[in-house]
Amino acid sequence: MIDLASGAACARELSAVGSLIGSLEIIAGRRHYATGGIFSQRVFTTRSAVLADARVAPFAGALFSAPGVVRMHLVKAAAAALLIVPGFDPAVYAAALALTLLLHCLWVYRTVAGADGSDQMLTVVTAGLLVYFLAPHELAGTIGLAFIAAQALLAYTAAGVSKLLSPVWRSGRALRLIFGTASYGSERLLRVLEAAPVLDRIGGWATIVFECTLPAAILLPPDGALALLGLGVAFHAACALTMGLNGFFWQFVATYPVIAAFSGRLIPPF
Amino acid sequence: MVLTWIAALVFGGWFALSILNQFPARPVRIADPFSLLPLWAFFAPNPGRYDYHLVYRDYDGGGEPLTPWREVAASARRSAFGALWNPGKRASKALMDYTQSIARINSPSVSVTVPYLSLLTVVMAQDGVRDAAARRFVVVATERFGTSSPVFVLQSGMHGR
Repeated sequence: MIDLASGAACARELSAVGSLIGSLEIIAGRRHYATGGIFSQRVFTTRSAVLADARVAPFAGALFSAPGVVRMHLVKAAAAALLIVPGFDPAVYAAALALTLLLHCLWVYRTVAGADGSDQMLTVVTAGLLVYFLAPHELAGTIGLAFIAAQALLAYTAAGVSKLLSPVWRSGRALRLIFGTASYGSERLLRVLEAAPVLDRIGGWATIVFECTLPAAILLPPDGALALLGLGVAFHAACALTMGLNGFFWQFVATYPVIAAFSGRLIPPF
Repeated sequence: MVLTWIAALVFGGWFALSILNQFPARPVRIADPFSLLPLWAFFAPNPGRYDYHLVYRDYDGGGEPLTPWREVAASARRSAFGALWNPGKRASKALMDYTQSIARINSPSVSVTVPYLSLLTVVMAQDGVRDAAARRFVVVATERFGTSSPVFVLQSGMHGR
């Protein structure tokens, strides 16, 4: 059985790897934040009258300019690197998590569009871990971890049920549609699915069943939970490989050690 | 003890609002500039089937086109290492998010919104012909890796150069 401390440490490291890669990706794509880019600062400042206020504008200009976004992500990458390394005092991790949460929220505000579910899970995991590392031996810490587990279970339930209610997903055509896009698809897989539509039906229903079933991990004994979560790791690895959803792998798999730490505790032993 | 109460209230409230946010009717609508309330229905109910293409062309003073349509920001194809390193996904997703926002707004006031201005900024930053008086952009969608016929999604007004 995984204890809460090990679960939190493992979650911290996995999430930090994803945070580090995400920040480096944004630094690599910094031209999109410059003048003429899709995340142009000039357009961003029209988002709120506050940003154009004479007292706020110089500060916001430095923070949210293209070089400002790069600085923001250099600091966030440094915090992520620290969070990957084991052995620091919980207060050090709490400080790095607080910095990560602040910078991530500022970037989400700055980017307006282009963020995805992995960014939302990074917010959830970082917030929960922050409270855990502030008070690792108190009930507050357990509440922080419970929040991470609860959001992960909600995520899979919502994703599974919304697919189950969708006629497109139930009909077994969804994967062909997704894999036909350059953004999330694969020409090779599209050809395979078009040649054998039954694979689309099987893959679509397997996704629905997996997403609807994963929340049961919290109720299973540890061995059963680990088996189900192992399927989850394979699922997210497959999504990263075939759809380029690399951020989802790190942030969603980061919740698994926490789910495993709570698994079986909600049912009293017979 | 104080931290425990704060954690219980903040995370309890956050989680309750997150549950409500999953319902299509979105019973609670509050400003969420930091995207704290997640929407977890990935690729459902309608799986994304389109790649969006931002194209533009220049016009003379009489409104006659001077150039063919030119593409500036297609949905990016991933490299072989896309499972580990995928920096193109943000701009690609932004084009999709902005296009869907503009199509949803569907009112003249759309031209002063961040989504519209963002696409306009990208288009206006592109090189053009010297005598052009105006530029217009269009977003089209394709399926099956661009092999389907482009579907018209939205068109901008004329913007002076």
